[in-house]
Formats: sequence, C-alpha cells, structure tokens
Amino acid sequence: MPDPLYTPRVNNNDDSVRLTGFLVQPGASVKQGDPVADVETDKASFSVEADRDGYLLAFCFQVGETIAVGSVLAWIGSSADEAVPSATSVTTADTRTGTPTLKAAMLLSQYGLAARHVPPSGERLSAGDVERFIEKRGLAPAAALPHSAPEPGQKRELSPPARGMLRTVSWHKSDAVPGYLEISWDPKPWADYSAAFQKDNRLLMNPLLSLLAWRLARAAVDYPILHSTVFADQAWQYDHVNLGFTVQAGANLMVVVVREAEKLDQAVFVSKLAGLQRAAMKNTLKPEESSGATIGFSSMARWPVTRHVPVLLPNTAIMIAHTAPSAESACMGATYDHRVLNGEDVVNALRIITTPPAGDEA
Amino acid sequence: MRPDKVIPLNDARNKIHRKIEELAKRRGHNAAELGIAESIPESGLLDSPSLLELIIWFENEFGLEIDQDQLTLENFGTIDAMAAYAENAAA
Repeated sequence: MPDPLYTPRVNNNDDSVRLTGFLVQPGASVKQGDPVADVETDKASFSVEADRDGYLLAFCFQVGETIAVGSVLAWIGSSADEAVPSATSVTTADTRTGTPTLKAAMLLSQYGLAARHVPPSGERLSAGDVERFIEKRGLAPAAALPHSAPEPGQKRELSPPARGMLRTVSWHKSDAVPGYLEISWDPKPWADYSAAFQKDNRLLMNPLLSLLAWRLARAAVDYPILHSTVFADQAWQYDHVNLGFTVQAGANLMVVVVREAEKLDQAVFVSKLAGLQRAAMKNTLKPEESSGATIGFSSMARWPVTRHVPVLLPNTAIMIAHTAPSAESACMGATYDHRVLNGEDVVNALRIITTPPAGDEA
Repeated sequence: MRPDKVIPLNDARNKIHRKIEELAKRRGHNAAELGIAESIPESGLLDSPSLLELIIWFENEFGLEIDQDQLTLENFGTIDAMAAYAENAAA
C-alpha cells in the first residue's frame, strides 16, 4: 500500500502553499530526504522531501495550484508499478480517521491540523499519533487562533488589500520583535528645503514626504543594516533598497515600493514615488510595485496626530513613522525589529533623516 | 490622449472649481472664494493626496491621461491653468 506524502506547513501563518515545481518524475526511485517538489508561500520557498525510500508514484496536484497544508501532495510506494489510491479510496481512508482524544484534539489545534490529516494507529486518534506525525514532518505550532467562535454573523472574503494588511500584521506579531522610539525635531529646515526643491522643479505637489523617504533610502546605503532582516535564523542583507511607502488609497491603506531606490537621485525618486501614488489611487499598480519592500516609510502628517506606531512591513527591520501635529512641531519615530537593530542604530537613522542633505549629498 | 469632444473653457473652470470645493470641504475648508488665477497649492485648501485626487478626477472627467512630467505648477497650479490644459488637449 503506498504512503501519502503530505503537504508541509512552511510557516506559521500560511494554511496553504503554492506548488512551484516537480523535482522528480512519477515512477522515479527516491530515498528518504530526497527533495521531490518545490512549494512556496508569499514569504518563503521550500523543497518537500520524501519521507521514506521507495518510488514516487504520482503527484496529486499540478504546478501552480494552491494546496492546503496537510493535504496529500504525492504517493510513495515500494515498487514503481503500485496502484495509486483513487480519490474515492482516499476519501474512504479519510473517513476511517478515528475521533481524536481530548489531548490529540488540543495538539491538532495547536499545530493547525485537522484529524483527517493524521492517520490513527487505533480506533481513536491518540496524542501519540499526532506527536509522531508532527515529529516526522518537523511541523511548528500554528499561530494562535481564537478558541471560540465569534458571535453569530456573516463571513465574507477579505479584499486583496485587507489580505495584504493581515499578512503584514501577522508577520509583525509572529516573526519580528518590535520596538519603537522617537525623537522630536525642528521641521523648519526640511520645510524650507522642500519648498525650494518644489520651486526649482516646478512641482505641483509638496515633495517633503518623498524627500524624507529618499533620505531614508540614502541612509540605508551608508548603514546597510537598516535594510536587512533575519531569515531562517540567519542575518539577511538585501542587495537593493526597495523603499515601501504607505499610501491611503480611498478606504485602503496600501504600500507602494520604489525599487532600487539607492540608484535614484532626488528628482527621479520624487517623480517615481508620485507616479506610484497615482497608480495606487487609480488601482493600477503592478504586483512588483506593491511588494518586495526592504525598508519602510509611513506618515500621518495628513491627520495632525501627535504620534503613530506603525507595524513593520514583512521582512524589514525598520518603518519610519512621521507625524506633524503643527507647522512648528514634528515627531519622527520608528518601529524596528529588535532582532536586527538596537536603539542606537535607530536614533542614528532618525537623526540622519531629520537633517536635510547638505549640498553634495543631494 | 486627446478627449473626443471640445471643452468650453468656462464649463471646465466651473467643474474644476466645484471639485476643489468638494475636496476642500472634506478637509474642513471653504474653497468658494478661490480665484481662477489663484495658486491652488499655495492656498492651503488641498494637501498632496487631495491634489492627487483632483488630478485623477481631472483625467477621468476630461478623458485625458497625463504624464507624470506634465504635473507642473504651470499646467495645474490654478483653475485657469487646468481649464486651459483641458482645452488645449482637446484642440
């Protein structure tokens, strides 16, 4: 009887993965630990390995399909000509799954699994069955979920921007170790610099925020740690400064991304960012224009709040938080990932950003 | 992109003025007295996101697609300049 090879959980927040490629052909001999297929989420890619020696008989999905974690990805048998269980027999096998014991049910919930994912060794699914299943696949506990159902109501699909926001806040909560600090600063030198820049370039819109964001991108060139992160327990230094900038587009808070911002001079950066903001408001952003940020900038100057503490964009170390309650006072803060940056790094970055560039820095 | 109809200058001015009044009202400002030759950015009635919204409305209203490098004070700094831009694009 062939054994199912289950779809693994790649990270805590994703209950599904996308199948991106097959690494062996059906019928091929495989050894335990051989990579057989590549899967990915928005955050990571991963090679699924054979969990036993044998022959890969068949894949259950096509490349490009999205697969629920825990579902049968492929079948591995003892000989190349073993029959693959049909969908009917798989269903039958699923229905044979025993009712979980209380302890098993708690473990299933903790790891984001359903009873049908785990083969029972006896009439009921035991905690031991679940523990063996988890250990064999090296699964990690799922993010905490509400323990009880909400009050009666209607379910509705999240919009794409809302899904993006959920991914962002989930990464902030489950992966990063966020800290926040701020400094007060005199906004007048920057206001004067921006006004002169606007006049010289005959710009319709005040370029202050874009210029502050450009300054952040330049700071990241001088202090590369600002655009780095931790990935798979390793420090990860990005090759380019992809600057994420928050935009309120109607009811949606979106992030537009100026890629390779370190290569752009002020005028080009300001023009590029203005174009992306227009595209966000017209809902015509391309995927690469709203993803892949390696550093972030956010302003709530439009609303005269005194402080805001933004969430970090996924896989970034710092998100600048600009506020300007009045023309005379301003606050520049930053949410940062304490795994990557310490308070001194952030204060130094804020000091750079709050100082307009001298002649040859522009 | 050119619009497919002639745009009377006064109609364009009135439409633009009404839109600015609507956007300014959302920010708690009254734009009724804004003159057609008065600088919109310097009036303080609209912030940058509101100006962007005005430009996107302008493109839709007059059937235009404006390049980023055309978004200058000369072309869009006043109601008069905006109306003239729409008229010239139609000419």
